[in-house]
Amino acid sequence: MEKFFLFLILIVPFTVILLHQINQRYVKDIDLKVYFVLPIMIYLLGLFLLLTNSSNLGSYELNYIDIHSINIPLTFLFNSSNILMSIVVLLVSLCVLVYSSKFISGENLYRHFRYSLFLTVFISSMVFFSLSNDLLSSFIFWEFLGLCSFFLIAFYNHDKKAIYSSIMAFWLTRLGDLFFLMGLIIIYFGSSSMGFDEINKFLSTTPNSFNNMAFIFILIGILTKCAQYPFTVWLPRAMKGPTPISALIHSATMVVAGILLLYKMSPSISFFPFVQDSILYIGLITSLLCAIYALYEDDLKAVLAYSTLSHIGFMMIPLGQNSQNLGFFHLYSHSFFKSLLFLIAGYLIIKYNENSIKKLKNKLTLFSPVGIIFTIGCLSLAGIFPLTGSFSKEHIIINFLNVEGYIPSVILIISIIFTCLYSSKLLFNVIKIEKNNFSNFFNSFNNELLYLVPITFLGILSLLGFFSQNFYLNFLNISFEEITIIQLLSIQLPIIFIFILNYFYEEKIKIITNDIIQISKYFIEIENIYRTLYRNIFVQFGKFIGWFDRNIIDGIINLPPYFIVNLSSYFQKVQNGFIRGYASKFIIIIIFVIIILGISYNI
Amino acid sequence: MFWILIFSALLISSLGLFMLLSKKHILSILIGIELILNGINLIFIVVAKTQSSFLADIMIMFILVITACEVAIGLAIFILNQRLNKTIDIGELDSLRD
Amino acid sequence: MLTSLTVIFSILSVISAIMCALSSKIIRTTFFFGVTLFLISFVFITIGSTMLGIIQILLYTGGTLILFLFAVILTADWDYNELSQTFSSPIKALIISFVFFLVSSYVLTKSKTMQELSERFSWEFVPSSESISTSLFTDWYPLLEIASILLLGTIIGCLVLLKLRKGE
Repeated sequence: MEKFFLFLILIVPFTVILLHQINQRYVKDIDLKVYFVLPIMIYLLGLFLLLTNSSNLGSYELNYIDIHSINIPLTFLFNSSNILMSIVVLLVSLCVLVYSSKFISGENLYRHFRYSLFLTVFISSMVFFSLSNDLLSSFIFWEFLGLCSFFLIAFYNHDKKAIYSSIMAFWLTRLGDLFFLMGLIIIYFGSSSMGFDEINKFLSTTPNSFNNMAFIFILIGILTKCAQYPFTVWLPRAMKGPTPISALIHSATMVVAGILLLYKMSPSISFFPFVQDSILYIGLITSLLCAIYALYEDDLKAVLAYSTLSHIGFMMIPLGQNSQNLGFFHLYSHSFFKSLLFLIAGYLIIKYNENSIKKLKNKLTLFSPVGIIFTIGCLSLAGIFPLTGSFSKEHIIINFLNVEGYIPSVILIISIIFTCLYSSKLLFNVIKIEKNNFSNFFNSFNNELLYLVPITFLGILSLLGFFSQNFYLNFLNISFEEITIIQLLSIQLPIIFIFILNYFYEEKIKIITNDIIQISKYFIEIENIYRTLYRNIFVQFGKFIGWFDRNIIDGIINLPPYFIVNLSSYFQKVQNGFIRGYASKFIIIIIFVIIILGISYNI
Repeated sequence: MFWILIFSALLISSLGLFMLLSKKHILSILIGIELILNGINLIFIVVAKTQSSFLADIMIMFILVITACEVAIGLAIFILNQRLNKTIDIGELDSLRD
Repeated sequence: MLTSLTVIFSILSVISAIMCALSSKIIRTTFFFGVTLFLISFVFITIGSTMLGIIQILLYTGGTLILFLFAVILTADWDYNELSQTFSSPIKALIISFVFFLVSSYVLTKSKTMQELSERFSWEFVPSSESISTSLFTDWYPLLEIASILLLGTIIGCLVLLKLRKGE
């Protein structure tokens, strides 16, 4: 059963390739939606299998490296959290696939193929990543995710900016992957096993400085993948890609892969105080800075990107407090409403051909299907009860305020205030409130059905907060502390208050927050630091390595041949082709032989 | 006496060597080879005289036979070469260079 | 008497070898070569190997030298007039041969074996032709056979070589 499921997921990209080959050779004028229909069907089957068999799935091991004493299998464990993550990935992917079939329909056949291929490779490797139970397979699929992200960001390859941002994303995540690999190797040398269970056991029994370093390396890899604070640069730039891609990869799944990895390694985090503190504070700083900066941003997708960063920061916070289920819960709920918002953003951008929030002002009426769902998404983003986003956020806030001191709590509260501000800005700028305009509610249905179906589905998931919370808790078979009414009100009332306040006093709030925004801008826009670092360290170091390689290493290798060539060109003159020359050399040799014999026989 | 004969033999050999290395005429080179062999013959016989044996006589006879063979073949090649290449200069025989 | 004759013959043979090396015309070279052969055979005779000297005269002067003379006659129109024309890099050859002479004479004079041998040098032993022939036909019989086959092969080889024409 496990094998069949993994095979089913694995086969999807290959079916797309096969389909393309058949399409190119034998079939002309096919409906290009088939590139999405086939993966949707297979993924639906996979999802169905997971949902029906979730309790009786075990694990699967694949012998990957088996060289006499070294035996590293790729293990896929079907425990409840892994299955839940796969379900989330598959759900969001299905929505995105349905959405994409409409979104990408303007492109030609080859682009359809490319889009569909990389998307399916991405989804399959994400499912494998969420099921993987050892560091090596995690690393492999982690690399796949980065690669697919690279290709999909640069999908519009006539746009130079998209290519630059894809290259930037690729190299930054590559840097992180290098650290990840280093940490992996160090841990493997210590524990001589790759499985998470063994690693967690090993790390928690021997928390020495060596393992601490390895964990920090892995953390750096995670931070680059999650675009946390020092590495925030690449994610907003990655929004150059198609919007469904941003929805799937850069908000719902790939960027939270790091959180998932941390969740899997969470039993050993608490043994490394430095790692734990850095996770907590980096999450805090990122959530604050990106929430503030999202208010400043004008581009619709950029706002969502920064809000994604901020929310990933929220996910990091409980992981740094040894309450990893909360982080995973926020991951789970965040993926629904954020992908929903991205899909709607894509819809708006396609429809009005505008990126800027100012220019999209009042374009969407409240009483249209998309308008209602957009409202749900924005409220969920702000964390208003009883939408999906609120539960996880409340739990995180209450947990945080119970544990931490004043200053971190103030920082968290500020970041939550700014989250409310930008979500209300998003909502009230785009939505136009008109009363009694239900007449053309169903007008757009036929035309935009493929947009509406996934949006509605995700909207329902974002709306039903209780349902999704219960689903999560039942699936993982855990329970959180109950939130009392007072706690709930003390969080919800200010949020709602600020949310509504922004509607009436938007300009004033802008003026008030201007200074803070300038400060955060100073922190966020650190690309120049990267550039100078790149120029001064990497380029110089690369030049030095190039010089070293060319002159020293190549020199060492080329020196003997150089000598030999020179020597042989000299010795070539020996073979001059005249008999007398040979004779004279022969006689010289005989003279030498006589001398040597004379010496050796002690004349 | 012994040393005079040895030195004269060595001198004859060295002169043969000199002819072998310096002369242009192929016949001169052959004559040089003959002189080397004669010098060696002389050393042979002189050394044999100290042992009171006639082994050197027999050896020299064979050397003479072999020399005769060598000269015959050498001269045949010389004549042939003179016919084919129209030269007797060893320096002009440079087809090995290519 | 015999000692002085030997010395004279050996010195004369060296002089004639020098003349042989320094002759410009090939006919003179051949002539002095013949003279050297004669003188060496005289040396052979004076130091006691009469039969060897006679064989040397017969084989070399009667066979080889005549062959050389024929070759010279056949290529008479290819010759040099001046001495300098007959050498191509004499200095080099002179150095090499001189070094060879020096090294070999130094080695021979310094070697203990040769010094011991030089003390035992004597003319008294004159092997009879009978004993040489007996030894040749009993102890050295295979060598004799090989030499005769070699001579036969040489004759055939020379004939084959000289029958070649250009273009074959």
